[in-house]
Amino acid sequence: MIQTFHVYMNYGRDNIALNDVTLEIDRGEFVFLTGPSGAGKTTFLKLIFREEVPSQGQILVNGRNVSAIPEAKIPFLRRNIGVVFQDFKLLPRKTVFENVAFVLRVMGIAKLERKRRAFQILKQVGLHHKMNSYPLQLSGGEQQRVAIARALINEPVLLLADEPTGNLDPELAFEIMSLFQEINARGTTVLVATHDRDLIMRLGKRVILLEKGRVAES
Amino acid sequence: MRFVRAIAYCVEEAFVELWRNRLVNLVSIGTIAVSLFILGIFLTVSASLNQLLEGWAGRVQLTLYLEEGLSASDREQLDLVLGNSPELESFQFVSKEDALERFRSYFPELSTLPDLLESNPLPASFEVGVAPDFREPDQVRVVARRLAGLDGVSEVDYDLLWIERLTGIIELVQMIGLTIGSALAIASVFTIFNVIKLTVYGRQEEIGIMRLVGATHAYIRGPFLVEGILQGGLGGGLALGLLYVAHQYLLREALRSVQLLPSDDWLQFVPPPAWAALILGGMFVGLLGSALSVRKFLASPV
Ligand SMILES: Nc1ncnc2c1ncn2[C@@H]1O[C@H](COP(=O)(O)OP(=O)(O)OP(=O)(O)O)[C@@H](O)[C@H]1O
Ligand SMILES: [Mg+2]
Repeated sequence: MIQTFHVYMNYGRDNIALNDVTLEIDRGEFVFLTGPSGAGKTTFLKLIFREEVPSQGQILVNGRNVSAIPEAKIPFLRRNIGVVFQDFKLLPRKTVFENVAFVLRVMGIAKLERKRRAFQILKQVGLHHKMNSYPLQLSGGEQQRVAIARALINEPVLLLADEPTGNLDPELAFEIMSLFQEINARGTTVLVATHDRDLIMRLGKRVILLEKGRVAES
Repeated sequence: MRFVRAIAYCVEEAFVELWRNRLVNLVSIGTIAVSLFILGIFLTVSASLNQLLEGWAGRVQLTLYLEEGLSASDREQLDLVLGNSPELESFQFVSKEDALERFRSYFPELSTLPDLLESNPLPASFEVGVAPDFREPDQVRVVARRLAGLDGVSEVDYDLLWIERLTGIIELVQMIGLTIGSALAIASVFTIFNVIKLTVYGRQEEIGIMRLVGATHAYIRGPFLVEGILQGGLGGGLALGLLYVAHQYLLREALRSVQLLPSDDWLQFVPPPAWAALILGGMFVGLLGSALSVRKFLASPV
C-alpha cells in the first residue's frame, strides 16, 4: 500500500525532517508510527497524501508515484485516504455534520445519502447528538472525534491518523482504537502516528520507530 | 446530477458568504448599481430621442416648386418620373390655386394681400415624402439634388436642420453615456476584484483544509465566481429599480412640468430586453472581477 525509497525531506538547509527513509507497509496492515517529538512522524504522513513532496526519493501509494500525480488529480488521491490531522483542521464555520459530510459533498453525493452516512459515522464516535454544533463549541476530545469521523466517512483504502487519541481519556482512546481495528478488518490499511506507549503495547501491532528523521526500528 | 449538485453547492456557499460579508459586498453591489444606473439613464434618454427623431424623419418632406407656366404634358411627364422613383414614398400635386388657398388659411390677417397683386404669385408644387430607407440627412440631400435637376422643377425646398441637430445630440448622449458607463464598469470590475480578494484572503485556511480533504480546484473556485456573479446581478437589479424610480418620478415629472413631454408614450421606460441586458451586464462585470481575482489570489491546487 505504501512504499518509500530513500526519502529525504528538508525544510530549509539544515532542517532535515526525514533522512533516508525506506519503508514498506502492506495492504491491510495496521501500523503504529512512533518516536519522540520532532522525529518526523507528521512529515511522513504529509508526504503520503501529498500535502508535501519529498526533497528526494520516491513514494508509492497504492501503486502510484505520489510525486508524479498531476495537480488536478491530487484531490482524487486524497478522497481515497482518510486523514486525522494532529490539529484536527475542522472548518470553523461549518457544523459538525457539514464538516463530516464535506468529503462526500465534494464528491457530488446526494444530500440524503450524506445525512445517512454522516449520522452513522458520528454515532460510531459517539457524537451524533452534536451534529448541529460548531467545532468551537466542542471540547478538544470532541473535535478530535469529529476529525476521526470525517476521515472515516468515505471508507478510505488508507487511514492516516496523527495522534488521534492525544485529547482523549484512556477509555475513549481504546474505543477509537477498536473502531480503527474494525475498519482495518474491513480492509482499510491503517497507519497511526502516536507516542502513546500504553496504546501501542495494548494493541500489539507492528511499530515503526522514527528517530531524528531516520527509521530506527521497523 | 453530480454537476447540478456542484452548482447548487457553489450557489449555496456564495449566498452564505455574501450574507456573511454583507457590508463589504454592499460596496461592490452599489458600485455596479451606480454604473449601470448611469448607463441606463443615458440609454433611456437616447432611446427616447431616437423615437422622437423617427417621428420627425417620417415627416421629412421635400417641396418641388414648379416653373411658371408648365404645360399639362410637362406635368404629366414629371408625374411619371416621380412615380418611378424608388426613393419616394408619396407625392402630391399642389396647384397654384391650392397654394393660395393654404396661404389664406395659414395667415388670415394677410388674406387680402394676394388680391392686391393682379395675378397669383404662388408657384405650383409637388409635395414629396421620402421612403423610410432614404431618410438619413445625407440621403435626403442626394434625393433633393436629383429632383432639382428634373425638367420643370425650379427649386427644391427641404428642412433638415432639426433632424441634423437631434441626430448630433443623440450621438453625443450615447457617446457620453458609453464613456461614463464603461469607465464606471471598469471601476466596478476593480471593486469586485478587491472584495473577492479580501474574501479569498480571509478564507485561506479554510481553503487549505478543503483541499486536504479532497476538494477540486473547481469546487474551491466556484463559490467565489458565483459570488461575483451574484453581486453583479444584484447590482444590475438595483440599477433597474433605481432607473424605474428615476424615470417615473424624476425625469417624466420634470419634463411634464416644463411641458416638454411631447406625448404620453414618449420617454418610455427601458424595454424588457434592456432589463435583461442590464442584469446580464452586471453579472458579466461581477464574473470578470471575481475571475480575475481568483486567478490572481487563489493559489493553485495542493
Ligand atoms: N513546515 C515546516 N517548516 C519547517 N520545519 C518543519 C515544518 N514541519 C516540520 N518541520 C520540522 O521537521 C521536524 C519534524 O517535524 P514533525 O512535525 O514531522 O515531527 P513529529 O514527529 O510529528 O513531532 P510531534 O510528535 O511533536 O508531532 C521538526 O524538527 C520540525 O521542526
Ligand atoms: Mg506530529
